[in-house]
Amino acid sequence: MRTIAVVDDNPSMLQGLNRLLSAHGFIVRTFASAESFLEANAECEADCLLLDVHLGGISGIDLQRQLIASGRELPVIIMTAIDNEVTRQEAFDAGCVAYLKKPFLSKLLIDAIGRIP
Amino acid sequence: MTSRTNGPPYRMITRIVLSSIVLLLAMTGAAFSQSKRVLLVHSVGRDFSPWDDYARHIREQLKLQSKDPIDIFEVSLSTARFPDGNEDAFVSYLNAVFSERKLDLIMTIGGPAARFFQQNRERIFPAIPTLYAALEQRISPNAPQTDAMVSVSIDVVGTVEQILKLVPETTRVFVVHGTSPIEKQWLVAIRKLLQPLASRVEITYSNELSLEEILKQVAVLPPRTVIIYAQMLVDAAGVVHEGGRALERIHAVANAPIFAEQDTFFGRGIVGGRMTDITDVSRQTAAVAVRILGGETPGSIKTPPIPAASPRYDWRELKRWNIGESQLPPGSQILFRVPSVWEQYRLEVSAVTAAILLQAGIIGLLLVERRRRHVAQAEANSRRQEVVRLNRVTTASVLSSSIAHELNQPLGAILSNTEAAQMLLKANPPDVAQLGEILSDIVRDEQRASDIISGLRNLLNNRTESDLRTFDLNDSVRDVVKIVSPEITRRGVNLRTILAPEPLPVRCDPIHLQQVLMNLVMNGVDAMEGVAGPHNLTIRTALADADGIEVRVSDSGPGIPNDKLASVFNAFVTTKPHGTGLGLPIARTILESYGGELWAENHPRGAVFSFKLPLAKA
Repeated sequence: MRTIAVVDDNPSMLQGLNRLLSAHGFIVRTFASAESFLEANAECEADCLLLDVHLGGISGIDLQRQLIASGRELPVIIMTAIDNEVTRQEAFDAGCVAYLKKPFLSKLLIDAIGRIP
Repeated sequence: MTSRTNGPPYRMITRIVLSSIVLLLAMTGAAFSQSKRVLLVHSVGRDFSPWDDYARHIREQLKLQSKDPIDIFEVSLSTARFPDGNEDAFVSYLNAVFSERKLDLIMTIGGPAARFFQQNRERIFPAIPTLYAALEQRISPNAPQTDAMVSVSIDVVGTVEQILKLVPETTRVFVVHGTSPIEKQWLVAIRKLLQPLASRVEITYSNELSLEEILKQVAVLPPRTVIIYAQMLVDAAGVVHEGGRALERIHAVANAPIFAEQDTFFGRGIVGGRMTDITDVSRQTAAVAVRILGGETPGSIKTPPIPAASPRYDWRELKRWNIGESQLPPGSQILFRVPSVWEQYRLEVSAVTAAILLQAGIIGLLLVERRRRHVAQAEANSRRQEVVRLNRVTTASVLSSSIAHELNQPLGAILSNTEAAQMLLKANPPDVAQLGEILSDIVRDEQRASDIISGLRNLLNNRTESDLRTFDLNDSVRDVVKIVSPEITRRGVNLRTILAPEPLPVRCDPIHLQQVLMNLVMNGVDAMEGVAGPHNLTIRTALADADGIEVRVSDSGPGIPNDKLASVFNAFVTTKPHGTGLGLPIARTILESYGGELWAENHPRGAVFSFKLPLAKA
């Protein structure tokens, strides 16, 4: 059973994703900030990181860069409520496996997770 | 010693007193010797028209024309009022009063007095010259050699003929006449004179009526009637009528025009016509009297009867009875004309008209000016609306990422929760408790999205009219902070507001002010993007002075490059990579349209944008 880590500063979104992914049979760990994610060392046990871009402190893109910089090979799916070319480019540059615009259908998310080897 | 000291003053005083007495006696003697004594004998009484007028004018003329002082005595032949008056008693009275005084002239006023004197001439101062005045030639007696006469000629028929020309539709003539002996005598003459006219008009006489009865009749006279006021000394009821009071009462109620032969009644209610000019007759009578007093023999002075004067008419009566001026005989004089407002107040009317014209001119200019102002205001409003539209677009642009974020977040959560619920529903049995939680979360997120849309709707509402109102600027700042704080927080900016403790009333459209504030705040946030160090944004409001408030929005960004400080409010000048360059010029235009100003400056840690607005008066 795969473990999905979800980082989003919006509690409602976080809760919704938790319920959705759990219903699809994933183990879900939720974090309200990049800092709390790093603090929990969750990257070690997660199979996929579902990451929001705009967070209160360290942004999602920065966290993604940090993970890469630290040599972690954790697949990252970026999600954002503010879709623009700059963000999209930065996300793919940082090596995300999928880029989702909020609100998105669960099928897109499940498909993206499914594509992760 | 005493006689020596008092002698000269005593003699001097005695001399002065004696001289004064002699002088006074001489003067008095002279006065007595030169004064002419005239006895005026009135018919009926002193105050009966028209003789009262004659007597008054004769008195005045005598004094005016005579070189000698005139000493006038007056008596009235009251017995003339009654048919059986005892004249002997009056003869005795005159002799008793005046036999011891030397009279220089006796003047009778009116026919009764003249008749009385002639009948009793031998018994009353037969040697004293007598002048018969104010009488009609037809009824006057022949004067003996010692007496003189100045009479008038009254053309009764001519008077009626004139009336018929003036009021051609006349079919009836109502003659007001009294019943004293002289009036009866005169009435006989009139009836005889007017007899030839009986075929043309119906003539009735009031001599058998009291004044009260006459008043009733003249009020309801048949149409096409005229009234001739001949004389009213004593009416049929034996009531004596002095002066012109009877005429005035008749005039007050009459329903027909009134005519008279004596100008003493002119101006008191009669229409006018050819009338005896009493002033002129009196002047001529006084002239004869002065000649007699000067020594001329009365019998040698012959004056022809004085005819009626040129026609005169009372303008008020002509108007009242609708008699056209074109109907008047040639040479007519119109008196008592009531001047028109223009004639009476020519100067005032001119001044008022000028003032009105001046005012009208000023009002016209003001209206033109007002029209111009309205056009200018309309243009200004149109420009402001255009700026506001641009501002709305700019604000929307500034907020676009924030709008997307704030709306997409709850929408994303709603979608995830909904799909999770769908999954849960497939389970058997479904987890109803969790489904309930999901639905609650969906409702909350839905509410949140709705709140965001409401807040933005006000801010970005496409209104055509400004909503000018007075409000507290601190409230505007609070509203803006509420809208932008999620975005600001998301972007790692610490927002601090330092608001004036007192209300800051300003008068403008609150949405415009919110848009300006939003613009400045988001400008500051953008300026700090990508800059190291803490990101602080401060909004400070304060009273600038007695007339204005000041708002300062300061950031901790890199500040404005010095070369752009001056041009930062120019359109399309921007320091941001993705800026439109419209936000600041629009904000300045909006503030200036409300009498405010906006400026920028650098401080050691970033830029400060400040604006001032006038304080709204209570």
